[in-house]
Amino acid sequence: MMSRIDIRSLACPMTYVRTRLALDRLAPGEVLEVLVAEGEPLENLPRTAAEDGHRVLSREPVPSEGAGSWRVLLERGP
Amino acid sequence: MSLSDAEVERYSRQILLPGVGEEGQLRLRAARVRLAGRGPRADAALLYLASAGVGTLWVDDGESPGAAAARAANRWSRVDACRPDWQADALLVLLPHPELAQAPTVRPAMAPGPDLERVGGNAIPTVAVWASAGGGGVAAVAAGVPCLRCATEGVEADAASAPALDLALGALAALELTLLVMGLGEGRRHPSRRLDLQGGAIRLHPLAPRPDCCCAAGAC
Repeated sequence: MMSRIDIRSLACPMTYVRTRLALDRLAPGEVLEVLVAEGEPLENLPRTAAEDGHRVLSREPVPSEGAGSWRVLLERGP
Repeated sequence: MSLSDAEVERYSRQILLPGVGEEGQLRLRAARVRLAGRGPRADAALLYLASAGVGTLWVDDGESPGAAAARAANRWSRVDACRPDWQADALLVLLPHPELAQAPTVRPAMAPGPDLERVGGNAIPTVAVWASAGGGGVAAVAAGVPCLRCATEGVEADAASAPALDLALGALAALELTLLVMGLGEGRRHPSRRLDLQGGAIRLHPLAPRPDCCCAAGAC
């Protein structure tokens, strides 16, 4: 089962702190689904995750979760 | 075991540092550190150890004048005066220290327990800090050899130094100890090393036992 976190209510740097903690709990190759708000968090999260060695699989809007909600899939790096 | 929401927020920027994460922060929270010595370098080290999230700090200065202040300044660490029967996981010692003058190591606690009966160097991660003419230094020794006497060979510790230098040395000692406790460094194990501050520059040296020292043979 894919792990999932919702960080839409958080501001930087807590957005990536929560993402980093969730990624740390996964094994390399496992995927984390992150619900993130558009704007600065959506711009920063994938970039920082990639800089930390994780793979950004996709990013897409999810209107069913509310306006401005996006889903980012991250694969934990080695 | 995991960090609370408040702890995550408190240590968020530290958690993001490469190699720290939740695991490193939890190791700091579980650590019991004995701070042996007194003075401005000890005060600075105490502040930074508490701020980094070391869970328990035992101040072994004979009087513990800084303990109450540290407790008030940082509610995230438990700070107490060291008791003879308490066993530390790591040690930070201010030089000169009377115990080191008598033996190659400083005892990890006042009464070593059965799990620390090994001889030949330091049984637990240990950091020594000193000031000397025009500078000072820090020796960080992972559990094992060399002994502190080898690690501080040639040091002529002087109790007096400039306030800014005391702050820098105390902070540097606290940083080295937190790295040892978290196990960070090359190959996920922080290396034993010595940092000499002279003329505003830091020189790094790897540490090894002297061939003629008892710690090289595990016989101290």
